[in-house]
Amino acid sequence: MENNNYSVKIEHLTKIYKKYKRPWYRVLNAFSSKVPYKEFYAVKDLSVTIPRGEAVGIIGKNGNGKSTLLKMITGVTKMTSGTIEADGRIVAMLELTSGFDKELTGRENAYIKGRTIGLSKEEITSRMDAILQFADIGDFIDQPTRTYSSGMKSRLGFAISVNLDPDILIVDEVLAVGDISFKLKCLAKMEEFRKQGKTILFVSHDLSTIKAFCSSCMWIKNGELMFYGETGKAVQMYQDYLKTDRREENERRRKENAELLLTKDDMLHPNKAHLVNGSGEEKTVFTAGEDIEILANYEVNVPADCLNCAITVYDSEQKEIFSSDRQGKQFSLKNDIGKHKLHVILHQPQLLAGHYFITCEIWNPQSGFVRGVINKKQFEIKSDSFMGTGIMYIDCSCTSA
Amino acid sequence: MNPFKALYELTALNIRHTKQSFSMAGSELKKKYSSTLFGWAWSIVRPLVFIFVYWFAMSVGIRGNKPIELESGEKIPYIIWMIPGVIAWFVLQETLSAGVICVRHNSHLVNKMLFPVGTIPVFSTISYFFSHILMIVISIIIFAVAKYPLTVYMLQLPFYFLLFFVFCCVICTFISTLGVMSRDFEQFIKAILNVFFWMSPVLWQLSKVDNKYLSFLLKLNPFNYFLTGYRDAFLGQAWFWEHQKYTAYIVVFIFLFALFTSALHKKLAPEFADVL
Repeated sequence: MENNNYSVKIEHLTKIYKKYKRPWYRVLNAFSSKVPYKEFYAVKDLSVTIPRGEAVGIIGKNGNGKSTLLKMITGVTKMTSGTIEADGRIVAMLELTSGFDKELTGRENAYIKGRTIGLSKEEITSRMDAILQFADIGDFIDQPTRTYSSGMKSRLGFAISVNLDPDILIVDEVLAVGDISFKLKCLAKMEEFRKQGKTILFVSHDLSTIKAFCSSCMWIKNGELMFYGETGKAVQMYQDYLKTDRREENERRRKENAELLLTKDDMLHPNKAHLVNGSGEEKTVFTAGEDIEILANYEVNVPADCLNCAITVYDSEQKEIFSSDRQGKQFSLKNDIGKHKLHVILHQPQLLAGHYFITCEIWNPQSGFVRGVINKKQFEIKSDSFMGTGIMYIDCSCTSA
Repeated sequence: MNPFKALYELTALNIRHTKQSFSMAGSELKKKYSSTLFGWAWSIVRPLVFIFVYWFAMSVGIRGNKPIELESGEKIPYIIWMIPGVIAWFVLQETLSAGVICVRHNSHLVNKMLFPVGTIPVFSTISYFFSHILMIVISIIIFAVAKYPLTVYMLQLPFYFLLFFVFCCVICTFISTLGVMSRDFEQFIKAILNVFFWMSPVLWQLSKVDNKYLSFLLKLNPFNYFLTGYRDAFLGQAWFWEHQKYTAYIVVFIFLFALFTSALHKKLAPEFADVL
């Protein structure tokens, strides 16, 4: 094993999950190759060579193949094609429970885990003290693991894994539930491993941990290796991708919402609304203390049991200042089919000078159906005299004697 | 695919992990009865209650305490006749009903660690046979208390026991493999369990079936071989080499079934982790 300068060598690794319409098709597939199924590429033609003594961070979005990759390196899941050569004893913590049998005690689980990687009973017994010390779960070691908290499970799992003396340690998203002090303990232990020339594969969504701890990093997207190399660069690329991805997601959602509004239009159709002052002039700038009014037309196309008007005023940071009683009887509107006029008056609002937003909605308190008439329309309050700072004028006086 | 090779591999795997399988079987039992007050006792309470109920219904109720007449013309109490068959049935029933989900229940061994998956059905079967051994011991005690003498024929029980164990291992591997792949299979087993029980001569005598063809058909049921064998041993009726053809049939049956099962297992086991 000293001859190889790598610890894990992966070549053209591909994993295809077969998705069958019915579970029985999978059995039929054992006898015939004509059973139809859909293919899902969990890992796609991935090649990478990991040198000894690296702590490799693996980043990527959920469901992009990180865990599948680790499972294949561990040997739990079989690859569809490609090769993995791993040099040395692999100990894996796949997911939080790391394969605990929840009815058995922590100690029994430690024995099972140890046995599966080829340790004898005596060897495990001799490591038990170290495991207990590292896990620090006290008497719980002799309780069924179903009684453990998630933190305790991950502590015991980690304690067992590191004390089984692995050459390659695989840690899949386990530190997320531990508290900070335990996390630091784990990281210190992994650091120690790395110095001993052991290899660590580490999946985490905590990019700062990855940056602080990993000597190299791979980014996997849709089962493909996008980058393997320097941690900082990988994290940077991944973050950039996340940003664009989020933006696209938002845009898509906005489009969907727009489509949704169109269908709402067919039920209740408000026409263009105006903000006007007390004398009926269309405005977006008002004098302090002046009435603010909304004029709009709406058309009811589908019978509604009742319709209410709801008004919300926001400050310049879009924090809500005031929202009218959405159930209030005084805000009920005409709900028969046809065209109606809506007239909302904000009587002499005590708003101080500044920018504000107003939203006016028509909604059905019974069905929950909401239709915006004005959506966060900006308006400004101006004042000739200084009346104070903040958002609302409070009439106050003071005397002294 | 070569089924002979598959069978060889599966057998070799299980022989390599014999020690581990025994301790896993121990954990299985512990798991099953953990947090129960009577623990182990439950594994024999159920068969004993079962024996009592069937003895009451069949012997007291239906047969009016009439003793049962063996092929040799010997007359013995019904309950004595019933016990060997019932304990064999009990372990088979457990193998079928619990065995079908044994891999599914141990899914953490399949998809969270590198465990020899082919040994799961075997260690499960071992755990079922632990209580079976206990039942055999209890049966011997019942025979002693009832002053029904055990004969030298009892010496062949280990032969039947071992063959029955191998038979159950193969069944368990077969049904658990299908049980992982489809939940329907689990329900199917549950549904036919009762049918299988009444179609097997557990509570009734095969020798009472007059129709030659029907009798032959019922004999093809491999479980009947073990029922007869257990009775022959306990009641001192015959040696297993006295019906060579039937023994040969069972051995061939188990072998062919094992070939088929290991081929199936080899094909499907790599997909276990994807399914569970």
